[in-house]
Amino acid sequence: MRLQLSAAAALASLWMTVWATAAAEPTGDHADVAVRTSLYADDDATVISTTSVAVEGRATERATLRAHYVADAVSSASVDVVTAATGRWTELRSEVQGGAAWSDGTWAVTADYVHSREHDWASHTVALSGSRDLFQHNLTLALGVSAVDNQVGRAGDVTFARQQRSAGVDARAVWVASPRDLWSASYTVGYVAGYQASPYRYALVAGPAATAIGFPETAPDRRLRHAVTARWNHAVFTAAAVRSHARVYLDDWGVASMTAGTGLAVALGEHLEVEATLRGYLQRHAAFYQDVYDQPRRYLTADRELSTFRDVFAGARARWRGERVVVDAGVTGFGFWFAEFERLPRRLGVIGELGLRVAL
Amino acid sequence: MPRVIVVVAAIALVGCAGARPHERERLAQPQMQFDADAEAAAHEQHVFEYREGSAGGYGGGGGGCGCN
Repeated sequence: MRLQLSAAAALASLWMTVWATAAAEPTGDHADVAVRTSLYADDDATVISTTSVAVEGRATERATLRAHYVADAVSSASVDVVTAATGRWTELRSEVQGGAAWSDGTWAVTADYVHSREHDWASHTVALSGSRDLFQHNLTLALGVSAVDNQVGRAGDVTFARQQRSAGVDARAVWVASPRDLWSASYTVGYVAGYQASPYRYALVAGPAATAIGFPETAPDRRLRHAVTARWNHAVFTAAAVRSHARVYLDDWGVASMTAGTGLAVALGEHLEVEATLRGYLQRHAAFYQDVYDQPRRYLTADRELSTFRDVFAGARARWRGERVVVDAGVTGFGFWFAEFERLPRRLGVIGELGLRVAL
Repeated sequence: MPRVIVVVAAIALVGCAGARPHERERLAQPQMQFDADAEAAAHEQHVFEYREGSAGGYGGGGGGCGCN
């Protein structure tokens, strides 16, 4: 409770500081400050509060510097921890990021570093990207690479330390198909090596007389992931856009999924914009996933995110754009339906979000 | 050969379409941008990557998962 009150006080102070900054006299178009808070709650007894602060400033005519801080406060007593015979847990994740971007209007490059830390997890990420505009800015080709080093621990066990490393490449094309149509297509490949199970979850193996025995999770230590994504923004009426996207995903664990979504964003007058979104997701399970294993196997998982399931997210957002201030608020409802996870066949929840951006 | 195919495909794709500078008014509107609000998109993608078995394709990523 004390942690929550301190976090709430810090959050309120942060919002007031940014709002006071917005009320001050402008000093020129040199920097943006953005603060965002979201609250996630589901009927699996999990609440996540996320707050981020981002600053972006112009260093030269062509270069910008940026930084952000993100704090996640998680409180959960989901069926995972019930299965592990532990009680409700809370934890705080902090993430800092620093980066730079350069663009001459045709070429653009970015470089970012991210460090994330929680009590049982530490992560370092380096990401680089470059892009080039072609054909009178009707086509943009972009290539990004990233590398992540994760150190995985276990609460209350100083002897437990595992490493997980990953690397990814993202190739992207964005093209102007017409004065009303903007398309994007991308291919992403990622490779993950190292520890990829959870030290807290236990997979169930059928025992004698209809009982089940919990075994620590074991997962393959290599994973190759592919995603192909298409996005399409189409201008309709005088000041509205239909924004659609689709993704196909495959990996060598046997997970396959399809994602599709669409949304309508409408400008109501000079300052106000409203948006409605709908997103659906279908997933086939990993080859080694079973809800309850018939016998101990080389790979055992209780990760329902590796099972067969579908989910739907539906949201609405309003955004007000002033001369120097942008404020937005949104709410999203969601449902997950797990076909092969008897302990939690359905999960429903809501996400509320509030954002503020100020140009200094 | 693959490089030639890519270049020819790109020219075919863009040559018959696109928008001239004076035709870009609608494209410049905020609701036509793919990631007009990077922070909001990052919050959203974090939820999906934490709750689903797939990842990639929408930018972002990195920074740990908070899901150990």
